[in-house]
Amino acid sequence: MKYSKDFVAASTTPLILSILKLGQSYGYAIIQQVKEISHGEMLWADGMLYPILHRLEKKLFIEAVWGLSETGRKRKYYKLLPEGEIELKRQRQNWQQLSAMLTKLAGEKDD
Amino acid sequence: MTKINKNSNERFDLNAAVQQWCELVLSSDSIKNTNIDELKDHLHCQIESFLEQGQNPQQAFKLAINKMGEIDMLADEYSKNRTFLNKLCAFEYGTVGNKANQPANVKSLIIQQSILWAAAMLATSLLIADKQQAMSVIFTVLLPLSFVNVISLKTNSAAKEYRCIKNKLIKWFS
Repeated sequence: MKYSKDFVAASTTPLILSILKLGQSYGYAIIQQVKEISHGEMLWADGMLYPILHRLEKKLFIEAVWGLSETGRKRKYYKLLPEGEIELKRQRQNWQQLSAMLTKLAGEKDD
Repeated sequence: MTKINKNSNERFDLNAAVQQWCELVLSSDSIKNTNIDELKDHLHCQIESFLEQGQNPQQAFKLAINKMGEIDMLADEYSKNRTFLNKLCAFEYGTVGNKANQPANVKSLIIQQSILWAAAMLATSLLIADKQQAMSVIFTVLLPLSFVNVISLKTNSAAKEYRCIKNKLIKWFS
């Protein structure tokens, strides 16, 4: 794996919130989506996502609703709550700031 | 995990295998009934994806549960969501069941247990200092108990047993 464990752990929340910002989704689809947009570089362990989703639910960032899959199976969908949107905004800013800091430092070294 | 469907000669029943897996997961105590349907759906999605790739049902099931990870680890991830009692246990048990997939950190467990026992003994002796049986209580009951406790932790199985008790406790209190 390309990313360290800590990095993966730190990036789960902003990624989940960003995906849910695009519309409601469910566990398996979220994992697939992350795999896709990272070109297969970020692989989440299947079991790790659900407890994280439950934690975000507890913090009222997201909301879970039971629904049915296309094949009629019971499926839990998650959607973003207003509180989660605020958190997403905050996290985005943090990561952008970090990225800017790193770019700046890298630039200073090159000069 | 080895318990699941070893009879490859018999016709493979995918739904029964999934059900069996779910029961195994539920028996870990950390995962509640309300969470199992979600995991079940995930497992089915994963199996369907493997089937689409041309695997046979039995193979697809096997690959899917492997991807799901060890049930112990899964349970640990879930148990992180527990409340106060869990945090108390987490303190008590150190890194047991850490996400790092490492075996129980028995060494820190022993140190923590020793400290707790020492504190218990000190507190007890302060309480019963003026009683005649004070010495015998400390030396015949508390001290041997503490030794048995700490020594028993040296084996990994004891640590596991310990975690099992922890899970039971959490279940009662939650």
